[in-house]
Amino acid sequence: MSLEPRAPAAVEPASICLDVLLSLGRHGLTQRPRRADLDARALEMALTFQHKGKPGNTTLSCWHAGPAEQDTEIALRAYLGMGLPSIRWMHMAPAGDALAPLHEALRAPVDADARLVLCGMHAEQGEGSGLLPIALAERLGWRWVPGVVAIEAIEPISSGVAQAVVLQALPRGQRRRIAVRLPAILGVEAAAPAPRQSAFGPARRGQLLQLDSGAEPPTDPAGATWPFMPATPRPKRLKIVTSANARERFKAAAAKAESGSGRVLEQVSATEGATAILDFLDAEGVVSRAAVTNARQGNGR
Amino acid sequence: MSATLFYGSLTGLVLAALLLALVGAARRFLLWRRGRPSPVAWLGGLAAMPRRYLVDLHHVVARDKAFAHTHVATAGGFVAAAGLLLLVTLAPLPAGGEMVLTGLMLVMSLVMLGGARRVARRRRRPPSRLSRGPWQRLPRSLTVFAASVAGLSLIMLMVTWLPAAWLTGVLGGTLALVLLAGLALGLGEMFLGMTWGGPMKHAFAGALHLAWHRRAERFSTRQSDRDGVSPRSTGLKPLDLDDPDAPLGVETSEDFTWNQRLGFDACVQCGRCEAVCPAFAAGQPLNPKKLIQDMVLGMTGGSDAGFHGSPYPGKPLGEHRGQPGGPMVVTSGGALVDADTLWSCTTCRACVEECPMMIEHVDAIVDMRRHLTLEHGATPGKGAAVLDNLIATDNPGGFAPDSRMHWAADLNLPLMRELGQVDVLLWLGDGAFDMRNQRTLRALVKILRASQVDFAVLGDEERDSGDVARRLGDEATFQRLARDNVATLSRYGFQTIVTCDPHSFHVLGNEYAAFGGHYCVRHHSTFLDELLQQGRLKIAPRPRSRVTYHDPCYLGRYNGEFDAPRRVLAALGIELTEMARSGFRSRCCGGGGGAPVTDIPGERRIPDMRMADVAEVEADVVAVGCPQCTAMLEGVVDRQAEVRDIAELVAEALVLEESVSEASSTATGARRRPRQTGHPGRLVEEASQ
Repeated sequence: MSLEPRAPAAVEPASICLDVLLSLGRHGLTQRPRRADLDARALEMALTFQHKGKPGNTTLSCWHAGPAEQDTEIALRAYLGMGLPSIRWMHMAPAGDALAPLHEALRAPVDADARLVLCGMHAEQGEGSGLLPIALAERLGWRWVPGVVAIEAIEPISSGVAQAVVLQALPRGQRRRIAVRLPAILGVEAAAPAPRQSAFGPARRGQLLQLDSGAEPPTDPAGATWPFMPATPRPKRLKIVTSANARERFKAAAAKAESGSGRVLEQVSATEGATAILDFLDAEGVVSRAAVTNARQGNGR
Repeated sequence: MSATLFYGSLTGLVLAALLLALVGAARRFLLWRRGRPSPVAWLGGLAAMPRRYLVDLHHVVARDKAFAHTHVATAGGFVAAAGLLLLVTLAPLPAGGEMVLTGLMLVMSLVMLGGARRVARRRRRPPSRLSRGPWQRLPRSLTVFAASVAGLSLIMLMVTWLPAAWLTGVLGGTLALVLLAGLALGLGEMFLGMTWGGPMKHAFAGALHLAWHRRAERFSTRQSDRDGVSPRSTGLKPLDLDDPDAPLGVETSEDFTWNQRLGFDACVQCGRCEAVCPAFAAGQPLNPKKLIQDMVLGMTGGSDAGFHGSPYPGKPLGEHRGQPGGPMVVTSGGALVDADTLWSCTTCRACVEECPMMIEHVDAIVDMRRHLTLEHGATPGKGAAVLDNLIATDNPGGFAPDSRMHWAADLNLPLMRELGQVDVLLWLGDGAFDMRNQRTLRALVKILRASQVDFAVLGDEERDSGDVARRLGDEATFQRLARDNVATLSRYGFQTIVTCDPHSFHVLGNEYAAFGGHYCVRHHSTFLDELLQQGRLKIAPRPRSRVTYHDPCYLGRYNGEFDAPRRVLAALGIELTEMARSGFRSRCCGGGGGAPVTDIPGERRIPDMRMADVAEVEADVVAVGCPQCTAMLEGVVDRQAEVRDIAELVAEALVLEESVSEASSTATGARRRPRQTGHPGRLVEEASQ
């Protein structure tokens, strides 16, 4: 499926507020501090959108919540080098949870017709679970769109309500165009355009606005006890083709993984859909049989 | 015309021209001074200027013998004739003395006339490297000036003998008027044009450029003549990164130092740079001559439509314009130079080497690149990725730093970390990650072991020298790498650093001094030459097919090493077939200055042209001494010649004594090896135990 490029919105809201959440990155080989790749892509997306639109229409603010550690400034300055005037840095205790201060910062109403928050799908260090934006969206009551690779337009749909038209990445290079009612949080995917080069001059000049996050954010006592280890890529499932025929083996290697085993459910009730998903998870061994049974019983009640 | 009127108008003309020229000179000087400060020895420079002109400048001009003679006659005749003209007309002199000087003036103006005619002959069908426009008019102006001065001198000599009525007669009066008119024209070109921006500007600005050159150490002195060294100054100047107000490179023309601006004005548009520039020949959008003229437009403003030489390939004239205080490089909207012009440069220094006016093109290009990279983050092509890799992994390829020694897993190389003190530190360079260069490195290690050199490597502690980062304009990353490498090297004791990478050689030897690193660095060809001369290397010379040698820019032009590689090859029994462009005129392989990374498209590829040079002399083997050159030349499709590093050729011809070969093959491991030994006997003993 290929999508025709979409013309930019004919009418833009008078003012758009973009927020980008930035985390600290680490290079995979040397563990040196750097900008996190996905967050840098989110920032690139925001900067591109700001540059494309009417000048002065879009305000961009960047946020980082975290403790002041040795490498923090190096990593944040790498973002500043992309041409940001400043980053707002909310200080936190080392074991603090970034959710509360970010929620506090984004909750404050802004004087804009459209509000959009961008961040990478997951962080490069720490838990890296990718749960933060989901939790944040839930707490704010905003929409959450994962896997975004482009913002095509932001347009007003009725007075005081705007929507964003974004491209979402699907497996094997497929794209889906969706419209999301704002405010929303967009999770930016690795397939989004690569971030621009970080330059020394702007990185040195840019300001790190140190903010006090107010009340001490709740710490994460469970997380403190977790052992952390370097992540390794998930092993791929081997597809063993036993054929003496080279052509067959080549075809098997070159062919895309078949998706024939899937099932398309259309116009089914929520219960049927949930049952199908649970059955699949059970078959894959993701949830235990007992949990499935419990869930079914709960459902039936 | 009465004699009084004649003398009066003559004096008036000369005086007016002189005064107007002085006003122009002052204005031009103030224009240059709008650049950034650069301390110079004001009087010392002026005192050294005649020597720099007569020795260093003439040394470059004299590569074209015929034109050198022309230039000596024209310029020498002009300086002498003009000086005498000022003396005779403006200084109160006794009559006898005036006669002698006038006679001399006649002779000198005739010499100049001869020169001017030869200039005119060259201008009849000028080669494409020469500029036209006002430059075509110059030989006529020279002729008019020289002929008028000669005629006037003749009249001044004759009035003493001829009756006074002669000058007042119709014939004499007309002649005097014509000659005075000719003098006025000539003075307009030669005096006013010099300081108000005519072609003769090159003489005025050129002389001051020589006096207040930014790299005064480039020029020979009596001392350097006595020592028999030809001084070079090729290391880039560091940026001050500690001062947040200092500009990061050059954005506007005013960000150049004032004497760089003076240097741009010195250009005589002879086009020697254009003739040797590999990027220009490849059809990439760079012409060093045009670039310098664009730099002049940056000072004075105006469109480049007034340029009368070859444009940047693929970029018509008249589309770019300069503005004092405005941006030099097109980032958005109109400006003077497109960024791809700057990124086409391979920093091979061929233009600087050829420039008779000693202009530093490469400095200016890197200054503007610095602004693009450090302020705009606009390094093109794979440049940004390479810089990110250097920042994160200390090597341009982004390889894991602890895999730097994987190529030598079986060699058991002695590590600096374990020995602490050796004679020779072998600097591997980033070629350690490149499978082709690993063959060269293995050959070099084999030679070092065979000649029982006490050496060690830094291993994983080595970082990229910072060469590519610096030439891509990322001075911050370069300085970080330089400081880290200097800190590592300061922990160990060694006498010499030997490397097979001329880029590392240049940076370690010439550019680390600003960061506290002073080392004795040898390119491996120099070191092998020394080993051969000391008799520590036994080789069996054998006849070979036709071999030619490609001089790496960073070894030859940057560091003046042309002879050692040739001596080593001669010792191998190789009779070199030299290419037309070899030695200081060697054509770049296209691999320097980050050019393969930025990869600006052109009509041809630079390495293809170099391999065509090799094919022209029908060589079967081209000997090289640089990992970049090896990679570039080996990448040429359908090449007829084999590309071999000097180390590989030496290693092939090596005569291994039985015990030594055993010593080198049975792992003279770092731990088994006694510390601080260079004694061959003990080494062999240990190994044979």
